[in-house]
Amino acid sequence: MKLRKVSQRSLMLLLALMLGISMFAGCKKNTDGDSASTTGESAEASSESEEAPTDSGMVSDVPVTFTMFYQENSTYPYLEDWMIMEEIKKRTNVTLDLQLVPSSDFRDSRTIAIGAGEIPDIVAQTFDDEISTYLNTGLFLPISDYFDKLPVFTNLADRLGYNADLENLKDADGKLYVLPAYCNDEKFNAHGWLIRMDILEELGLEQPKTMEDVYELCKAYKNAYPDKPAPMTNRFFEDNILFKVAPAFNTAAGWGIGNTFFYDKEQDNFIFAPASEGYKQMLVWFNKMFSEGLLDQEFATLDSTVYENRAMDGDQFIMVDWIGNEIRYNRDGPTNSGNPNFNIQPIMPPKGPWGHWSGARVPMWDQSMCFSSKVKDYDTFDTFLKFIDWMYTDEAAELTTFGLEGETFEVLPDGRKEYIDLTHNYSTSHGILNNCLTFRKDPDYLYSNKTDYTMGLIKDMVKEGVFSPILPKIKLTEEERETESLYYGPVRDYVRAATLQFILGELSIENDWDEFVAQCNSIGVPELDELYNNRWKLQNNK
Amino acid sequence: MNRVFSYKNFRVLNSILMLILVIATLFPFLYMIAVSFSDYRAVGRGEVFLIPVNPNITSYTQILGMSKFYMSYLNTIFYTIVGTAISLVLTIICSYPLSKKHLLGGTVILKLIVFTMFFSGGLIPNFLLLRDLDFINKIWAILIPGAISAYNVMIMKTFFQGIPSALEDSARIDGLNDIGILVWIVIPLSKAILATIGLFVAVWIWNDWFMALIYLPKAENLRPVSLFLRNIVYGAYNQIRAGNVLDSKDANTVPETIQAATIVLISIPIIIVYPRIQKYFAKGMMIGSIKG
Repeated sequence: MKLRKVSQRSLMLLLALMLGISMFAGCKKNTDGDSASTTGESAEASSESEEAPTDSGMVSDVPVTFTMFYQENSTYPYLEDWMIMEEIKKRTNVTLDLQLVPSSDFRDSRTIAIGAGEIPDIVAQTFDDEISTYLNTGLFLPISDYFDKLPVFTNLADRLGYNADLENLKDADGKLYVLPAYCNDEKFNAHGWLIRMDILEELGLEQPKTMEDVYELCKAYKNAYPDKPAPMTNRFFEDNILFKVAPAFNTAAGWGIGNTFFYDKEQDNFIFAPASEGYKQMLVWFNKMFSEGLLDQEFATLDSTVYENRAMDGDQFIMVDWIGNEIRYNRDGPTNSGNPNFNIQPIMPPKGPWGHWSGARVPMWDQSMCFSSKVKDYDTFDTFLKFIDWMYTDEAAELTTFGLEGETFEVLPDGRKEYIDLTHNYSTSHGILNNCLTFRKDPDYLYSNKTDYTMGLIKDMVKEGVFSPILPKIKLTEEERETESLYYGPVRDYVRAATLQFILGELSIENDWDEFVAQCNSIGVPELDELYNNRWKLQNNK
Repeated sequence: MNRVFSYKNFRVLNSILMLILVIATLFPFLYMIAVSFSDYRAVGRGEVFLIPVNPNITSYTQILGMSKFYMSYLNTIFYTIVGTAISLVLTIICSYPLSKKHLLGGTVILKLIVFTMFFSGGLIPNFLLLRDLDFINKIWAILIPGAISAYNVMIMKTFFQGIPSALEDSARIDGLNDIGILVWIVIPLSKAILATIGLFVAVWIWNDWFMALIYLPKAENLRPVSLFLRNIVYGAYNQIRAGNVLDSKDANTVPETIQAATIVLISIPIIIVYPRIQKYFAKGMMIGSIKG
């Protein structure tokens, strides 16, 4: 009797288990069924191709496919019939199989892909510091080992002077794991200063030459239009405006703060930027602007679309924005603001108290990418390198920037390439000018859709050296990186919070500055200082 | 008797309180609808409140003109229907045996299930598991991992325990076996809890974007519309927060009117379905809790 009861129970348990298992087995079977159709292993499928030089003159004689971790920007979502993909395939025999990752969660997705050890052949939009902690996994290809097979790129780097910046991207082992993308031919970055030219003329004012001029101009504007919103505002949080203004005060802040340490050329060492005199003076300037109502009360939180509409409604005077956006503003501005003279133009950046440009420390490229180390086991590895190299050729730059002659661009009488329809967004329809697929921008792009004034300005900016090389990089070892992670987070967060408090006036620069510095020192700045400067000395003695 | 606390006064106060709550809940929806029909310039100027300014449907025509939107919308409908069905079946066959006191090892299994409510393996182990199951880039990656929630199993198990065992005994005398009892006696008596849990699951699947992001890395044709929405609304925002210098391409954002139109289009079905199931919902919640 008892035995029977037990067996009945166990039968029930067994049944429940079996039901569960059969459920899963059913699923498994189904997935096997459609796995063959939905996924195709890219490289294996194409492994028959030979390594011999190509007969066709193309990158590959036989069709090859490489995969790419692609950031899908919501302003130009990927379309299957994009001309850029077809044209790359036609010219190189290489199909790029894009793994579309929404830009909203690109970083998380990449972290998971790295964690799972499954990264596509090319990982777009990835900078050296973003993968440095994962290099020990061996997942990434030390691309500098293969520079002899990238003649186009290396020649380009020599010709345009990329090498100093590239040297900076190398890891502690002296190897380079990233290649630049969205490259420029000139040391120029579109992130700059825009101003309402018509208001300058109306008030009989000059373009600002110094940061003090910016302040005076804003004050004059405020007096002339007391009812309008603040003359200067900002979007993308405080990082955007701090990044632009900090170089004028010979310091680093916002997007440019990096590891919070700033290279002092004269002393050949790194100093903690937020405790420097320059940083303090910058905060004084910001606080002055903010407390007198010249900098918008919402400058650290304003939504980007609201910002753009305000600009077009004529409610903004001076902006930190991307040169090129003025075209868009000027299109809608005159109607939106009801002012037919509405005219926003970029200006030469102002200089700080010690004569530094309010420029930026930027490399000669806007994007960066890395590669999976598994490509070197492909039979098609040489083709892969050839393809990467091809993407930097003049032909590829023209294709990925301007597209096809007659279809998307034309050659102007002065020999410059220009889009046929300047109001059309070719990124959306053709996929060109794409910050994942455009490895190198066509040299003419810098002057595309620009007035003579702006072209002259850009030439001046390049000539005057508004944009300086990036800071030298401290190449930490893995152990040192661990020590860094102990202190860096708290320091960065504290500095970020305190910077805003100083600007908003919640902390007083006269009274609270010493305490701010003391607080920084107590949460790990001396430790970071020692770490960075010791490594810097070792690194240079090698 | 203190007249201040009379029933009448309570009702007045209650109505006022509820009215405030209703307005607070309804406002964001009405605002989104107003924004989605407005001129984007007016939105930027902050002129839109509850009534659209310069009403137009350009945002809707733009959204509806995107094939990606349709495709992902259909995916979401598919996942919601099939996923909810799978989830209900699995939850029932998991919780019904557990509701029986004489199940061998029942308490151990229950403890193991409760354990998962507090501890999880983490993201990357989960990913590796699904990869080894060959679920990645398949619809199963969305349908299966979230199908059984420990919380839902608990609620349903408690509900099943509330069904009088005499009922089941009489059915057994009439010749039904265990499966027959479940199908013919227990499930018809459990409509309230099925509707409740079904709604939980359906809303969860409808809104979820994370599983698709992680588990469908290469299958963009299988992605739900929530991920599409997320990229539109948070695309530039999260880029900026990440702290890299933006290039001019990344610094573009999708107009607010289009964001609002997408949100409205995606919320509509669930708003329509919700009140219809709500009557079961309230009942199911109550019964489950009282008997527990």
